[in-house]
Amino acid sequence: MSNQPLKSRKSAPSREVPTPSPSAARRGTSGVTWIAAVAIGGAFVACGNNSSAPGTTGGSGGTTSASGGTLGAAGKGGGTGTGGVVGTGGTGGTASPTGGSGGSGGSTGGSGGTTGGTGGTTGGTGGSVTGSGGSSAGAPASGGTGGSSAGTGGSGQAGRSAGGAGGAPGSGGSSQGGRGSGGVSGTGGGGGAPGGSSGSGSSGTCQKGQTKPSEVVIMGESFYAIAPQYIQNRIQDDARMAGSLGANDTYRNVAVSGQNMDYIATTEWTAATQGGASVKLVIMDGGGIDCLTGGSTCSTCASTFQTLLGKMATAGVKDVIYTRYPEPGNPPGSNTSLKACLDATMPNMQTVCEGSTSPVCHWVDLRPVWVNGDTTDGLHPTESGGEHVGDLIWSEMVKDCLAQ
Amino acid sequence: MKSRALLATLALLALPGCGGGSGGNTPAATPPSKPFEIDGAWIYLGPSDEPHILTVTDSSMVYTAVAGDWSSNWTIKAYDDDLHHFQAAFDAGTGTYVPVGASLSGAYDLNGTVLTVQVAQGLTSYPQVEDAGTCTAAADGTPVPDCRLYIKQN
Repeated sequence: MSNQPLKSRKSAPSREVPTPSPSAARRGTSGVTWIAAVAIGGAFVACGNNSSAPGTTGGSGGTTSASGGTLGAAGKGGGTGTGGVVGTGGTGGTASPTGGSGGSGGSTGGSGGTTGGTGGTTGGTGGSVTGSGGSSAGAPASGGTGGSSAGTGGSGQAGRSAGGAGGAPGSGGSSQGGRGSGGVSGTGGGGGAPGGSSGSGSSGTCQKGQTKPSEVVIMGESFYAIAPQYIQNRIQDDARMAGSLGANDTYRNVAVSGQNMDYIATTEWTAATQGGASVKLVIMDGGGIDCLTGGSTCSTCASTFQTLLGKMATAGVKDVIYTRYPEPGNPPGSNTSLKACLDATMPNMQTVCEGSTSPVCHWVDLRPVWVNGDTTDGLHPTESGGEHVGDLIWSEMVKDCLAQ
Repeated sequence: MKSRALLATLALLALPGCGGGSGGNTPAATPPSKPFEIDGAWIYLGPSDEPHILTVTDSSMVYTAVAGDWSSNWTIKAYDDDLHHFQAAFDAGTGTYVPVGASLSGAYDLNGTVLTVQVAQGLTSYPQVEDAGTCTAAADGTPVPDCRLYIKQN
């Protein structure tokens, strides 16, 4: 990651700043958060060192249609040794009168330049039923979260030292209207070889009704198990608002407090599939208790996780969302011993997760959304922590059409 | 000479606390009581109560909700590190606190930094810790009543 200051900045296409949606107000989202969300949802810019020839401009983000949102193309990385390259984020969609189409943010992934550009992201803001995509419960560090829109911002992809990579494509919004979520800012690498390939757009429409509520299973330990289950409740609230979960439906939570990775991979997995129960999507964590009860790292966690993913594949699980623990302690990060263990353990978990294609494993890092006030005891979420984590998980589900 | 030695011996034996022992003439001291092995602060992990911190000393136990809306204070009447038992009497409480009762008997399992505490009301008998490390029934995952799982706070 480059620590160089930004050398240039380009604004996203101007548009009216949306107002917070009624739902955002109902949830009591703070103005500060909303502003942050809008800011992040606007456009980040990839910047490079302009000491050499200007680079190729990244592709413009797409615009969304009123019927669900097409995807903004990803920005394209710069050429060899060129200066900063900027992808332009797509604009959020406008609402249709019947529920609003989720505009998706095109990702800006321009990078390149000798100092390394910054792969920006644009948090797409989809339209709400009233036509304006508002962002509300945005997670400050991971992009804005749209109000009642369904746009999902593209994630900026880290540039590589061999050349900046284009930003990952933003995903289209749900036709049902959910909340749009800003993407995570990527970081460009150093300039050099040609930039990365362009992203490609995809339809923003997810097929509904493909996953039953009972086929969504939550595994892990007290982070998900402790009462009240703020995170699960928030995800379910989000899903209900999007029309993806019935009013009385719930996901299955088999998480057990105080359990290590081995227990999760064996006993909890057995519970999840007991009686031949079908599982399509798993939301989970694991390894934190190993760190709390062990030493400086969990040396077996990654291999245990790998084995679990194999079992899941055999059982027909399609997707796994592994949530990387937030910074431990109150304030976040103050539990230095646990933090050190997590920092040592989680990279291997990430490697295993991101290497899994069946099931597809989605690595969701909770650290960017976890702020002061999100925990009191340093381990478990408060209500606001549950909202931030739940919203981030839901945005991942929307982006990849999981249990929609 | 002989009678003088006998007198000296008798005088020595007459001193309270002296003689008769195998190791010298220091008065036998009462051994200090062992500290309660679960002294310290414990973060509640589950399974069914609201998040709280349990703070234990040799003489007291305090349950404090992390949300700050309840607490309960208990005086420890007895504890046994070997048998993993303790007894406590209720002192005071605020809000909707746990545990409840005028007195309680507790059993615990300490495994590294994970503490499982099973309590029962009254002082007549100690409960058993049946699901150490989880406080949930192995068969169906149901939370075990009055069983609480904690992890040592840093």
